[in-house]
Amino acid sequence: MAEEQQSTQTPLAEWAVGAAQTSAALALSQRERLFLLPQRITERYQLSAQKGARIDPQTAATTTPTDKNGNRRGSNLMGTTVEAPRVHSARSGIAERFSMVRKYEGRIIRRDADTFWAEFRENPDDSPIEAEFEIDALPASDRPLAVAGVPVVWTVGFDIQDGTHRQQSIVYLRRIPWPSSAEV
Amino acid sequence: MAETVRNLESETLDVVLLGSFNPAILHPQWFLRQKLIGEEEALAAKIKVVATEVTDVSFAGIHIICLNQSLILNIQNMAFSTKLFDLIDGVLNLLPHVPLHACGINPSAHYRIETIEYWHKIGHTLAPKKLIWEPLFPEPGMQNLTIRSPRKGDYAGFVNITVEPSSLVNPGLFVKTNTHYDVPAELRESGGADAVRKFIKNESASACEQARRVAAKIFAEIKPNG
Repeated sequence: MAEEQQSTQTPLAEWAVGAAQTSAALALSQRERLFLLPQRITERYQLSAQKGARIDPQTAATTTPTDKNGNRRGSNLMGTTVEAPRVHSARSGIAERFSMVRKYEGRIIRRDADTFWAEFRENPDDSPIEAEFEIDALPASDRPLAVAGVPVVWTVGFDIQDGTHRQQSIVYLRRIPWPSSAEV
Repeated sequence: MAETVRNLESETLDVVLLGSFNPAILHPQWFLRQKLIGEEEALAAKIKVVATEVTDVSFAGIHIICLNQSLILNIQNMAFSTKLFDLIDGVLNLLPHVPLHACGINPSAHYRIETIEYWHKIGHTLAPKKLIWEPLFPEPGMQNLTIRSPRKGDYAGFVNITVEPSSLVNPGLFVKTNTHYDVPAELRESGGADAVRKFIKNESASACEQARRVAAKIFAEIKPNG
């Protein structure tokens, strides 16, 4: 058993309460604050991690839908009408899923007009690997920033859409050099 | 990492900050002006609302919901975890006096399970039914199991670990963890932002692996035919 306290767990429904385990009183005041929002929103919403949960308007408790036999289901998308002041919003990305297999962090070691090279490690103690990327792999506004020394991330994974797995490689520059000033 | 990748169907990450926030400033153009995101990312941003009470915007693969008492950042693709933490670091660097009293790093993952029998075996092993539940109820099944473990040291708090049937794949397993850090009381009004930055800098990598670690342990200890 564990003592209850204010939680940083991800809220089950967005905008409804500040945290999934906040008290009913706080949840109510939170809902009252949302009167400026549209009075009625009909939306097929999804939740970040688990779909099908909702906030009970009376108790602010989170509940999951039931099937025809009255059993709780942990696994159903809920199409619902949400009336203000409770507002739920959709989080995109559930239909398209991602599975990351490898993540490398490193720095650009050199570049020319069309290409940049970076040295990566998957873990700090690993031997570095060098990879070459076309400069077009970066957004246009990032290309001038791709110079030697800039931190860069490269991930390899799968994009799963409608059951189809597609290999996915993502490379991006870090906009904040690490170690950051927080370390100082 | 490879151990649990085989049946991994989806993985997401939420970071939750609790404190006092001004949602209205968190417009994608503000992030652009502060050089925290690029022009293309700002132009492609999806803005649901930016107001004094609530902000809900998405850009650069990051979904941000800000209320007066909480700031929630979510990614659906773990490839962007570094970008997410860099963004938080940049925001807190720009807003060093924002009062913060807690931070949670919450990864979650859905795993496909090969058979219904194995799925039940995992549930029955994690939550045995024979002693209490079967004498009382027919066909008891585990819907949710949450374990809490205290965290000591420089970043005190706790970890909540939750295991459930997956909502995404059937049969499937859903694992989420909440690595919760309580900002020390003396830093909550001033200095909380710096404390949270240090917590993220030092603990985010291990916190992000917690869901995979739990799943790997479950799959290692509970075998389909063991």
